[in-house]
Amino acid sequence: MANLNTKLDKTNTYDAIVIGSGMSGGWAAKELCEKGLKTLVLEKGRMVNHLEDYPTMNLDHWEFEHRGALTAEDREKYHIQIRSGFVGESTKHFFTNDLEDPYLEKERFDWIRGNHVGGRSLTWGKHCYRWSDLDFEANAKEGIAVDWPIRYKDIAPWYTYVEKFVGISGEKLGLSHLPDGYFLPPMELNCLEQHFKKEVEQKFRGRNITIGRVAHLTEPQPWHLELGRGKCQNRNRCSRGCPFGAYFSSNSATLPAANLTKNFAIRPNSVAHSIIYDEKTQKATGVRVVDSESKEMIEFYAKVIFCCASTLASTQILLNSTSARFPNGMGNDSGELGHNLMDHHYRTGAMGVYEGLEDQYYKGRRPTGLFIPRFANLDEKTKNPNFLRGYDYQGNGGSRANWGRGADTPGVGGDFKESLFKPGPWSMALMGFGECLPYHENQASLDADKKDQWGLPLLVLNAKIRENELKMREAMKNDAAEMLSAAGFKEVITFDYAGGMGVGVHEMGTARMGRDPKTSVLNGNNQLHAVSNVFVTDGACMTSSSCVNPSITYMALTARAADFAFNELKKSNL
Amino acid sequence: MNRRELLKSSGLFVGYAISSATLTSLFISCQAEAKLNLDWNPVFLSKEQANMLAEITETILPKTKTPGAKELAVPQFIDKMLKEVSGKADQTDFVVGLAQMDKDCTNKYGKSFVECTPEDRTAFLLTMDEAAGKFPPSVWGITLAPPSPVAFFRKLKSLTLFGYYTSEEVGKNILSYDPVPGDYIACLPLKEVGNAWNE
Repeated sequence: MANLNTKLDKTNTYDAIVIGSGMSGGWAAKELCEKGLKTLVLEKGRMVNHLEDYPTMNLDHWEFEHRGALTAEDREKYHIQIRSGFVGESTKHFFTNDLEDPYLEKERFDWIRGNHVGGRSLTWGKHCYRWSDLDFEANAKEGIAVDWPIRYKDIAPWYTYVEKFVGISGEKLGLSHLPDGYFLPPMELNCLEQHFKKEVEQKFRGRNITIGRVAHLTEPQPWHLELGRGKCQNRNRCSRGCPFGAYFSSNSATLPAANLTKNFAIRPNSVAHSIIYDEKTQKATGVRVVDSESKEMIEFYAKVIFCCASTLASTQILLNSTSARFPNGMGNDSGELGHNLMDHHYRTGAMGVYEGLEDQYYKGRRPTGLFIPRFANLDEKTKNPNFLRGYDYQGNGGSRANWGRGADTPGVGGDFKESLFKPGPWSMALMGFGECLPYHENQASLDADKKDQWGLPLLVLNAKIRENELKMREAMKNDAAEMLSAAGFKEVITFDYAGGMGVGVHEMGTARMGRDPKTSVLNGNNQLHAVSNVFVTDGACMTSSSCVNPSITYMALTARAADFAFNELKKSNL
Repeated sequence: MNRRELLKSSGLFVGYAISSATLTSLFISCQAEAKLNLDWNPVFLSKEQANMLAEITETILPKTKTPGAKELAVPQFIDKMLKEVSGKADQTDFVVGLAQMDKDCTNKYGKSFVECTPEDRTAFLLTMDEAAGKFPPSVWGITLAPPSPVAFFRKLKSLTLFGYYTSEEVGKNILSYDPVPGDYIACLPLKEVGNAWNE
């Protein structure tokens, strides 16, 4: 596959500029390029070309100097990133160096970042679930924050559109609150998961156990193969980059597709500083960038700008884009820019051991687990009076313990050693993911004095989960334990250790969509109410958070907004 | 003389009739006699500490029909991890823990750990194992409890297992090795696989 084009236009002028190359930026680039717009992608971090920049993708444990563990020096360098639990010797190069790129925490906030071409699309969890009107209508029905300016019917065709290209394996369930989509064949539940499904679905009416709907190619389609993507080989080493291109990332899919059009160029090591505003035309004219290596400030110009730097980074750029017209940040007439920061709260649930099925095993490291769709507060019958909204579960699936169990298993000696060569007992963990309400008080702002090495004011994060989330966590924990017990699990224990907000790595909000420019930043097309040629289509746009993983919704909103922007451009409205 | 050479030269290599337990005790007592016969240079620990560590790891995972911890260079691995992976506080804890352990051993058996018989070493480690608290629960490698001190022996045992079971010899030749599985088979009889997957 050809490397991504980094040859730039001599006049620094393009039809479109996309800030960021992650999940949303990759889609914006693909859509705008395919529509024929000359598009420049500005990426803060270094280049990562598919395959050739995945140095650890094929390594076994013993081929790592520290068998996968981070050195003391690395733990310092990634002192915030490691709060996620996902950073190791095999993946550290896809996480941000916290020492070089700091922010301020008024409340602990775990901002887990990937500043490089592809962003967090390289290390994401890959779960893809459609939202429904249960989610889009919730704010309006409950009088929380502001209403979404769109409904499911507005986004449904765009879900289908992106799902086809992404390639999502999953099972259709026919649930109105978790709509089915365009799915490749689902991955299979193993023996214990099948047992769990049978028991739970029998004993708890209205609960469903299914395999995760995940962006792995189980049956690649011609358009996947054309991009050099292949079938999932069940290695489960995804976050190092996949040698088969079997999971979806910007690097394996959207950026190569954009690159094929010849309209595409990408400039890595380009820290977006601010969006340039022209008082006369009342439009944006381009983006100021600081070259992260030379520290030189450079301007790039375009007719339309897609801000896809990630939820908090996009808002940081907008807040820093000040002018006489926008003294408090571009598009911030409402004062809501930076507010209503959300995440998914998780790390609560239960786990248990299953006695039995000792003669059964599995082959392959399936890169996903089971999924239990939301079942609380769907309607009057399922109402839980203690909290609003709901939660779902991702299971680590049923699996058999490996040698690692030995650390806590009593014993030393020859027989002990030999016993750990055999698979251990089956166990299962259910991890709840809950919706966070949009609180005005949960805020990202700019520090008045402190700046980073590129001259951007440091972001200050001040957000926490509150009473509704804390009450929901009780139900998340207890329901998980109840389901495991009902399915015959023993030694069931619960856990509840939220960590900081942000650790769900689903941060959302801070430039919300809405119907009224007085109370929201973006309109129903992800367009700044006040600056018609600036679009924000990453997680910053979210008006509420649902409890399902958000990436596929960002992708659908981005494709939809790109289509709108292109049509507006054609009509000379931008 | 390292133990592998001893095995070959003593002709016991083909002595299948000799039980693995006999073999283990034979070589451990042999090692104990040559108390500081360390054939590698530690990068963090002193030679005495490294020697004690080596005997502890070999008591946890002794040579049987499969290699022991020393044969797979687990002590060297732990020494390297202490230097490069452990933070300052953990390094201190480890050295203090090792000294305390030897003191406890001397109080109980009148001998340092490396001077003890294999039976006493095993009995002593089992007592420590019982006394040491367990790790907090974790899912997907995420610890699901607030940080709290982990007992020295728990850390030591965990490092020993980590060094041993993630080694190439164990991962490739003892565990079931399948780096590119291809299809996922959701249910199949364990006997068709044998040992656990290297994962």
